[in-house]
Amino acid sequence: MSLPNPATPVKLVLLGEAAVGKSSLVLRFVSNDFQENKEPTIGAAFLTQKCTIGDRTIKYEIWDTAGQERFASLAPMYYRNAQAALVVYDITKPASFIKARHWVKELHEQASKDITIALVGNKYDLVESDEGGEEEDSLRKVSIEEGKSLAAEENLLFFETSAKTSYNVNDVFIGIGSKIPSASSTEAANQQSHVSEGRVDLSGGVNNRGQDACPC
Amino acid sequence: MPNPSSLFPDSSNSSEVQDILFGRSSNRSLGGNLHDLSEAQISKLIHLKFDNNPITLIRQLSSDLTSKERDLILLRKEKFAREQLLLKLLSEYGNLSSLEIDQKLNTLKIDNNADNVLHDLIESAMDEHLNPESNPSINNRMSIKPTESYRLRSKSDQLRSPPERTSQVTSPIEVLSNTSSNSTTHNHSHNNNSNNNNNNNRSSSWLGNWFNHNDGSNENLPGTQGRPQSKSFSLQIGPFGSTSSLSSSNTGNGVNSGGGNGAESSKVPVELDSIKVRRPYEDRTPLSAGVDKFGFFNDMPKEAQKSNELLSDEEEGEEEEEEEDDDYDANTSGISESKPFISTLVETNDLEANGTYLSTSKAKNTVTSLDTLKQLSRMHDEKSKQYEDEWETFFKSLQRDYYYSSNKNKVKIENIPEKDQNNTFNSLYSSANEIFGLKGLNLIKLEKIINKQQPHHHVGHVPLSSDINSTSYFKKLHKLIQKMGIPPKYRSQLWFELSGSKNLKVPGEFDRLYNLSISSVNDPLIESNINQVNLDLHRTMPSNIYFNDVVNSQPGPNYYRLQKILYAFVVYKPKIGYCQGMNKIISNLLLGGGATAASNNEEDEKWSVNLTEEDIFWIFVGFIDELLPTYSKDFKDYNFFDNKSLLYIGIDQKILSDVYFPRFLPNLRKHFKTLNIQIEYITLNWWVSIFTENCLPIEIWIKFFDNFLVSLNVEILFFSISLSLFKNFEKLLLSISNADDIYLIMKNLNQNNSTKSNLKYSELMQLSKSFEKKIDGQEIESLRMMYG
Ligand SMILES: Nc1nc2c(ncn2[C@@H]2O[C@H](COP(=O)(O)OP(=O)(O)OP(=O)(O)O)[C@@H](O)[C@H]2O)c(=O)[nH]1
Ligand SMILES: [Mg+2]
Repeated sequence: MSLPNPATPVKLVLLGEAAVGKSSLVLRFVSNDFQENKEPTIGAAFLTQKCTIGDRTIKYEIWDTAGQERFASLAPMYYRNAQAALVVYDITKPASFIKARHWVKELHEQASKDITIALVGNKYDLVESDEGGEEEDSLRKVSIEEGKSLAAEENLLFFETSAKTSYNVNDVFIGIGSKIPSASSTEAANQQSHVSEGRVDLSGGVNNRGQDACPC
Repeated sequence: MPNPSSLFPDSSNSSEVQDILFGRSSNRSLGGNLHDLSEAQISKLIHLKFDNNPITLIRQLSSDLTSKERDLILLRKEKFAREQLLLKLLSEYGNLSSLEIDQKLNTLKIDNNADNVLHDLIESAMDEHLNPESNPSINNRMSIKPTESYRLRSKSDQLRSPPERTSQVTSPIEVLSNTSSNSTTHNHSHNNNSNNNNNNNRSSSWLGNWFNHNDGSNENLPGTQGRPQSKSFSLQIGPFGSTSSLSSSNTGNGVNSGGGNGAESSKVPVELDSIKVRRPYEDRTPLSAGVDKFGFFNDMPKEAQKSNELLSDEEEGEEEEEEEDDDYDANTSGISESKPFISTLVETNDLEANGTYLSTSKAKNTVTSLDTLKQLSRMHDEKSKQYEDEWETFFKSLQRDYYYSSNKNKVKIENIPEKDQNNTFNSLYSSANEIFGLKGLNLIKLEKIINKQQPHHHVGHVPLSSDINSTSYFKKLHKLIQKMGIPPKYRSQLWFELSGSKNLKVPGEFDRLYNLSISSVNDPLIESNINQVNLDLHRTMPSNIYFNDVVNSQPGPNYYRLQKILYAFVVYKPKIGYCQGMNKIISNLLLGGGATAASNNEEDEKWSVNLTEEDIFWIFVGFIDELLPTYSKDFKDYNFFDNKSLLYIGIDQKILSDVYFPRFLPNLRKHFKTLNIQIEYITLNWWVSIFTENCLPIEIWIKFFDNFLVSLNVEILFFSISLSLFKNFEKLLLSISNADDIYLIMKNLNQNNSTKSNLKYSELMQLSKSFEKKIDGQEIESLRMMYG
């Protein structure tokens, strides 16, 4: 916490198949917590978290969508004018990687042109122990190379994470934050501020907490 | 003071105040239910005890009243002082800011629900082991109705008291408290028992502790040991007290109190059981402290804390109660402080424990919680009585008409067998197969029949005139449900009928469907649905002990019930399949319908059918099939949960936000517009989950579900509930000028305590009714065409 630097709001949306751990990633990022039985998200959940990267403070406005296929048609409502997206899959579930591909494609086609996308392979903890060994009975079903190559093809950030151990979780959000063109975020900020002049910042306490939780 | 020991031989040292409250200090002090006596009895009383001089009686009554009043004042004053000191101590030694303390106290609030407290009192009482050869009078002593307890008063009472005395037995709770303090002398060995129980700190009865704090001299009382100071009493309010000192209450009457904690083996006095608040599965799963009456762990989910924090800064609406305390403080300064703990309890529970209507308490913190409880208990008392009566009247007149309509030769009303008159609801069921029918439509049929038979017939207070709509049974039922939801004792039966499941249910079908689902089906559609169900089973209500038995780290009983129901459902309706949100709905139904809640007595069983998972399945099917709105497009009807419907639900949100929101809540809409808030982001979740997901707290949801069952137009109800939720928080929302915070609040309504405690069924329903009136179904239709 340094200057009264106004936080740049960044709208971020999470997409990905059901139960890959979208909500868990957000929970880890926002509250540094993990729940073994995270309730399924219906429609979409909303959370916020601040994050300081270098001299910039970003306030993520996170829309965590439902993964169930039938809710897919609602997604545009949430990624519309989002500046960032996490497309999440579960590295132990090949189907979830296929779904991730679809999401990336859809985002490129439908979302705003300068959206920053990160591809995230979650549940790394499940394969951690047998990394490096022969992959006979490894739980890993999607190799890191597959992820990397999709990311390279589509110009995405790429991470393997574990919401459970918090491995790489903050890095995703820092990575996104640093890649977000400041132009678009200022634009968004302007957009925001002209509608919210004279707003009372009630989130002071929340933000401070946020900064504690986010080690960036 | 003449001879207190004649009644309660060993209650020495008690202060005057207590004695007056308990009516045991002087033969002259009178109980509260003199009004229940017949005039002859009162005359006799005056004759016997007041030398035929009514003025003395009036004096006595008035002085008793004054003492009670004074007692209350003292209590308030004392509690206030105590709270102040505690606050000071906490900030001095615990380094806690008052904000933190406040937050902590706020989380306690859940437990200060009059129902729960009541519940616990009854629960504790019922946890006793009654000796089979116990004096049958025990039951009589616990009878609910004052008049009855007068008539059926126990032998032991007679022995120890002059006849008039028994008139003081006003409520079961008071009986309990009397016997409790009374019996302490009778059985000292029992005290040892209880002390053993108290080694388990949590399971020791806070109720018992209350009782025992009344008299510091009784050091060997159960519950007092291991508790350094009585001052901690207010912090011991937990939802699950179990037996300890209370079990001593019956020892004086030849009842072996055993000292066990288990609810399982207890035999329960009839009257007490029928008034007990239904708590599903209580007999199956051991509950730990920190679980509410639906089995939810009291810790709130982490994500919600953020918005909770946010709210606690902003909400200042409920401070009046504290001011009130200050007034009392001023009024009573100088009056000596005695410690009438026992009176606290009696005041708190001087109510008939026969309803579960009141769902939330306004208590802001422990300073005010007891006062509030008292107020609440009184309100609760009156209201629940009133609503019970209304239902009873309704059933009575319905019953009469059934006798008319089913007996062409017109049995006279007076000829209804006496036994049936006592249990109207029950006997209704023996007289007709389906009284209400799907959505209550049978009532309308009945009215038609009756009107044909007796064009000018007027029945009871529900006259059936040609103007059927204004006074019809259906309308009456609808109104009753709107008021307070369906009383728990009728709920399962009514759910079963109104949802149409009584007709839908095919014996054996549920099991067949389930078996199909687990035998290898080669239907990819079903398979994929089962997979999706599997993803969600362990993710459903993880914070509820009936779903997630964290104590034994295994799934709870409802986990399996939910599984069975969902599996059967996706086989039954593969086209609809599993949709997230269904899990929530079924879970709420399981918790609210009290499936398989074991009933300990016949009477109760007759009154309410305990719903099994099979029943819940059919209720759910009925709800999905018959009651939820459908969407039609190109001459096709889509079920609410059909894949295609999502689009149309989305359109409804657009209508809500573009048409109704601006029309009915213009200020809020203006505010939201400046903040660039779109309510679809909030309301869509509500709709898709039928208001379960982060929306209505379960106790309120269940009552709204009651309403869905008789609603003439559920869509309109959906619109109006949505509007009501905004209206309910309008002031708060207008005061917030940050879009994120508004989303956080409205998307976590039942997740944080500040909003949760501001959701009241009756208020929401009131709002909803007013919106409902203004929304026109045909307009919705044409708007859908426009927006579609
Ligand atoms: N081992 C492991 N389990 C995880 C991890 N992240 C999430 N889970 C578990 O995976 C399940 C699903 O997680 P959620 O966060 O609810 O998944 P989601 O993507 O939000 O699912 P939907 O809301 O249905 O779309 C939960 O039981 C989590 O506990 C992880 O990193 N490692
Ligand atoms: Mg989720």
